[in-house]
Amino acid sequence: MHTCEHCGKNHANIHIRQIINEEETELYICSSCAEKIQQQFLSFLKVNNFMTNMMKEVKPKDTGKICPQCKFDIEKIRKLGKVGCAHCYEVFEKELDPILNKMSARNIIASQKSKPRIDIDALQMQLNAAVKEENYEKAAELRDKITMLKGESHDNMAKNRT
Amino acid sequence: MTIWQKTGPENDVVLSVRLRIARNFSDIAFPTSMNIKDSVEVKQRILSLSRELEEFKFRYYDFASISKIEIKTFIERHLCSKELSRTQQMSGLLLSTDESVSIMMNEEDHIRAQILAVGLDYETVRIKADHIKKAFDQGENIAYKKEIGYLTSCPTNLGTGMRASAMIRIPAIIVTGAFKQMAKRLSDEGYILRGIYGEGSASVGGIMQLSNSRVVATNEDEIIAKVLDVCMQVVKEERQQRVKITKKRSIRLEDKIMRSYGILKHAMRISQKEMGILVGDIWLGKDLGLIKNLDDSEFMHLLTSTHDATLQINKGEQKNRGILNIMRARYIQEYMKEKECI
Ligand SMILES: [Zn+2]
Ligand SMILES: [Zn+2]
Repeated sequence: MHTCEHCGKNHANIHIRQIINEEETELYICSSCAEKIQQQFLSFLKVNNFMTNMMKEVKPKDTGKICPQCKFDIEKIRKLGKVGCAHCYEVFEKELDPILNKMSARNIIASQKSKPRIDIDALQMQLNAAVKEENYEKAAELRDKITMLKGESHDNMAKNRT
Repeated sequence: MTIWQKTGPENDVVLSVRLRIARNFSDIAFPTSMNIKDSVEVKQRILSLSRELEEFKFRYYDFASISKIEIKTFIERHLCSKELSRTQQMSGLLLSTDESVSIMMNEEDHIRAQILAVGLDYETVRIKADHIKKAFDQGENIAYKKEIGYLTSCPTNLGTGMRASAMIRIPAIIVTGAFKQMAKRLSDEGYILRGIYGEGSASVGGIMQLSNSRVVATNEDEIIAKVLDVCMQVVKEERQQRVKITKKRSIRLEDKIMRSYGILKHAMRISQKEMGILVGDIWLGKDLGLIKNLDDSEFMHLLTSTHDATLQINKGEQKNRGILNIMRARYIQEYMKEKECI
């Protein structure tokens, strides 16, 4: 029987073996200390504001799904702006898809030649803002740019087809 | 010998360049949800995969068993992120002997490798990055999904899992007020400039970090080609501004530089913040031809070796701030003693 190496009080019910530089070391720890360490670790995680904002915009539906590996739900992902594990990308594929699309993450590999779509999205957002501010000169300029970019991507698609 | 004792291409403006590679294991919870057992498993796997990377002669630091102050020295030398230092217990760091490669374990992702080179030298970092990627990607459960690429905690890092950045020194651009315009131009191209110690930190000696602000929707070659191009723009601009200042011969600026030189050489107490400003001033003096016999790597050394934690570790004792300020002044005095800089 081992006592917890952390608090030196409780019975250690978690036993972790690790091998560092061919040397085996062992860690005996109680579950309450392990929990404390984990909580402290998680409390330092930074929220990814870009993602949380994105999710505010897209508003993915909460269908009550829970990732079997990390136990995250869409609400948790929304709060943190991050996923809990690799499986989340499968489990929440439908929910994350519009967001990833928006970030044009899906184009990452496909975009080796074509222009990233995010440029158009970003311009569209700037355009909306310009219209709101009644800055019509800027708005016209942005509209032209967007039409041009859209035209270009249509051209590319047409070329690819032939 | 660390890479900081060397100089590199365009070193007068680009202090260093960096590539960052993120990877995760698919069968272990990401650091966003992992428990202590997971964290140990991750460290084990990374250690065993990194055996392929003998060339870097890694030293391993398990953050569960080293001191906070030692971890702080890594931050001061940009070898690990502030986030990693805070998460202590469950994290770890592999550091190459020349300090050009650091692999953070259990930061935001399981694996965050950072490869540095002095000067505008993406070629060197690229070669090293390729070796590192090769070693990790042969790991069995590296999280990857067709269409979206390497899986990361933050969806914003999906894709190649690679980011490029550079540490640049642009005192002349700042002094002449050309900064605002350049920052705007860079942001139009999707790049941001921030203080060297992360978001919100003030610029020390005109040193800033240049990195991608937008989601990178490109492949690796494009990422590097683009950042290289942006860096070259900055180099050109900064050099032009330096020539401009040199021609103009502002007595006010020259006076400031010479005063800073005097203080560094003779003051008996210098705070970390003041040191940053003073060294920045005389570094600009070197660019303008006023300060001699100090090269870029020596300035870099002065900046990085006189931070609080590094001073404490080197002197082997816990000291209070007042004593550290005295130690810092003494260290700089010693360092500059032999050098006739004007
Ligand atoms: Zn305990
Ligand atoms: Zn999950």
